[in-house]
Amino acid sequence: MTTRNLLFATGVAALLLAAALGTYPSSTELAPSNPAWNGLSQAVRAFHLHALSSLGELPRTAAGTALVIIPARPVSGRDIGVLRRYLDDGGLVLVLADSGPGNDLLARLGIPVRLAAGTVEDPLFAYKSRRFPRIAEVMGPASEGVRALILNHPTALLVTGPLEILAQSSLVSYLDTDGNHRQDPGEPSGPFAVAASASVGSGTLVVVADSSLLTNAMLPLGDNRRFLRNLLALPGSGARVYLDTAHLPHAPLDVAKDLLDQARKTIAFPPLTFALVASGVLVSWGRLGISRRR
Amino acid sequence: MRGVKATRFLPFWPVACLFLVGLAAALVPPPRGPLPPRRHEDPSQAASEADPGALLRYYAAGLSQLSRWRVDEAKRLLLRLDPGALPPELQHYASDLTGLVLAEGDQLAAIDRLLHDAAVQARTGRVESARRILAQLRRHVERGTALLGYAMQDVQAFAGGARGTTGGAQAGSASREAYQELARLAARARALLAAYGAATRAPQSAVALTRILPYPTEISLSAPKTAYPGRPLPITGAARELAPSPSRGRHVALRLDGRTVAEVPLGTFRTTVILPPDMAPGAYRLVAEVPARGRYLAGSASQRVDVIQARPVVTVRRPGLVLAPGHLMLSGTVRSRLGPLAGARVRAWTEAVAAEALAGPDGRFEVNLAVPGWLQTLGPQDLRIRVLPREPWDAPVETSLRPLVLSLPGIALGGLAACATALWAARGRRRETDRTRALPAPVSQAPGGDRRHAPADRTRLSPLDPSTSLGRLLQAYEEALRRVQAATGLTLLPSTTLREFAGRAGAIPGGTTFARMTALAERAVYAGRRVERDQAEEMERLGAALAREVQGDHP
Repeated sequence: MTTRNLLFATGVAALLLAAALGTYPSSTELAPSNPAWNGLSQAVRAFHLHALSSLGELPRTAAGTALVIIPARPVSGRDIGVLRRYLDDGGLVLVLADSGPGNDLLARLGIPVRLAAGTVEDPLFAYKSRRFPRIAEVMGPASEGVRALILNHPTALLVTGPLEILAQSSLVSYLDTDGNHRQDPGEPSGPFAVAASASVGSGTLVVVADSSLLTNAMLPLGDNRRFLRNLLALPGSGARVYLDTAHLPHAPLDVAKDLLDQARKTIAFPPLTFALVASGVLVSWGRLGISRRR
Repeated sequence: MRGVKATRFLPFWPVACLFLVGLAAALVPPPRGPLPPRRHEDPSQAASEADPGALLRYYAAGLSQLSRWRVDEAKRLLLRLDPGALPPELQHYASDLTGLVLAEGDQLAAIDRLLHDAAVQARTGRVESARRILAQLRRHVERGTALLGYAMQDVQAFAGGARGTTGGAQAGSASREAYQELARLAARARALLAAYGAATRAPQSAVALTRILPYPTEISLSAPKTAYPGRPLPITGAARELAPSPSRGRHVALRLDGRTVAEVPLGTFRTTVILPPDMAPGAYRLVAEVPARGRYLAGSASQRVDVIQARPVVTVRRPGLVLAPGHLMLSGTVRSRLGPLAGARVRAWTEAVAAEALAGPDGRFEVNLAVPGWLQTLGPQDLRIRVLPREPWDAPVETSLRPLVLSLPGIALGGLAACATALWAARGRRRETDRTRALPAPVSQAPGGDRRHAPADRTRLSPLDPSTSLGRLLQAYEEALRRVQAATGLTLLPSTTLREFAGRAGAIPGGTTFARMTALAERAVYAGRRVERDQAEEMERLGAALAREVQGDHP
């Protein structure tokens, strides 16, 4: 096998691999390319989400933009600094969280709200089951056209400072702290805040106590889509919305997809594209000339 | 058509393995890391469930409000319960019960109003008028008592059914407790209705009853459905106490989503509120509220107000093609339905450059972007324009354009890279062409056995320099080829390869030598390696040997 053949075959294999990885849908939960119930593919299309593989890719001008962050893994101190600057500069940060790393993020950003340890369940106002509470009390800026939200195993927000409550559960809801899906004596009764917003610098941080709100299964339920659209339009019409993928669960396929995306961005560098296209044209032209001379 | 031999693909197995390994590595499931387990499930797979006890508890909360004469709160609570959103086995009961309890609330509200009206008439000496009102009131009391009875019958039937359908002891016990609570509240409401019924016997009884009952406060409210942050919102309404004498020190508080925006005295009011400039757009509830004091009950009325920002329209004129380094001049206007956006900040930026300007009183703006001649400013550029209004009632807006930028350094560098690539490719092609030209030409055979050479220039083997090793080697091979053709009468046809021709000529004397020469020539031409002098000498030596063998001069 000559060097040229080897190079050609390697190139073909690399292209095939890239095409296969690029088109094969991810099955990782909350992955932007996952079309299953627990993926975000519909949200990416519906809200034109721009995936960020690192918070360092946030734009220099934050005003008029929004960032969605679902903290499934701990957020580093450097990223906290980036988020704080982004908020100070007027950006909107939407945090969808219902467990540990979300609490850590809120505490380090200095937001006076915590996520409760337990699940808000509602035996009456619910979609199918008490584990999907129907939130009929939606207030404030994002409530236009929203009659009810449907959440998926949400938790409660423990508000400890000046925050605007955007949504709260019904008075028959309760916080199931032991996971037995019924209200035991001592388990607190509702209503509980499940969405709230706080002003930070020139920006706004909105926290919703459910990390699944954007998933393909939850987006079409109730008025979830409308609520999210209203929230993401708060920075202004036509706001550019970013999705932080750095803190989502990652499988090797997602890492490979990220690398491919980086490669695509590199190739899209204008002079490189120009050089590649021009080379292709010149080489084809040269070959055509040679074959004609023959 | 020749079949493709599977063996031709054998050399590609390392590449195929690499592809498969890469694919497998990307698709293996994620390792169990420190990530916490997520609490969510697929709603389409969840089983429907119903908890009748919860429904009874909810009605108990509503009835509790009613029995405390908080008719509005009770109505709000019950109207929030959408029977259509409940599990199917609860929907029927919920529709019936909600209807009955709401009707009960209407009766209680009417009873209260009529009682106070009758008392006022009686106190002012209009006894006949008071009697007529009391007769009307009696009918409402009877209707209210009947409705309460129907409601409790429904509740009883529902609770019985619930005990039968909910298997769990815990659920059954919860339903029983809720039912008992409802029965207690219904008894209290029934006693209250009985007291009203007794008061309908004579106007003086009504007066006596109103003396011990608290005084309600009625409020009406009216405001535009749409408002803008920082702009005035006119609000009108009236607050009336149903009491023999007015209270002191009570005011109507006007609140937007809990934030007090104005306070006005009781009575008919008309006020204008400037909405806070930092009010976020959205649906707000405007509430007029009078707090309770002593025997004077609280009163409230509410209305939805949509706070919106007017969306500006940006009109931009810009050149379609921009040379970099150079200037990109953007001009245009920005205005909303509330007028031009005077003093708005217009910011335009690309990845490489940004500029800002203020809009004039008529909303006109001009932004001058100095586009640098950098490498990345080549091709269509994503140019974004953001307008940040000065006034809070206008919304920020962003729009984008994609002008074509021709960066001269970018073009130069890209062109150089392209030329270099093309030259490299052309050099490789030229080498290949030289080798191809060096091949012996096929010889065609004319009908009747008349042999003639096909293109003469192809039989002259090489335009190559005979002083080079490749030239010497091919010259020697050309001579040997002619000698074999002459000796055998065979011709090298266009469809015949050198190796095939050597195979056919293998039977003649010197055939083995010619086969070795052919192998040597093929290696020199196709191997893509430099031909050494010893290879040329070997070819010449074999050529001399072939000449001897063909002439019969065997060693």
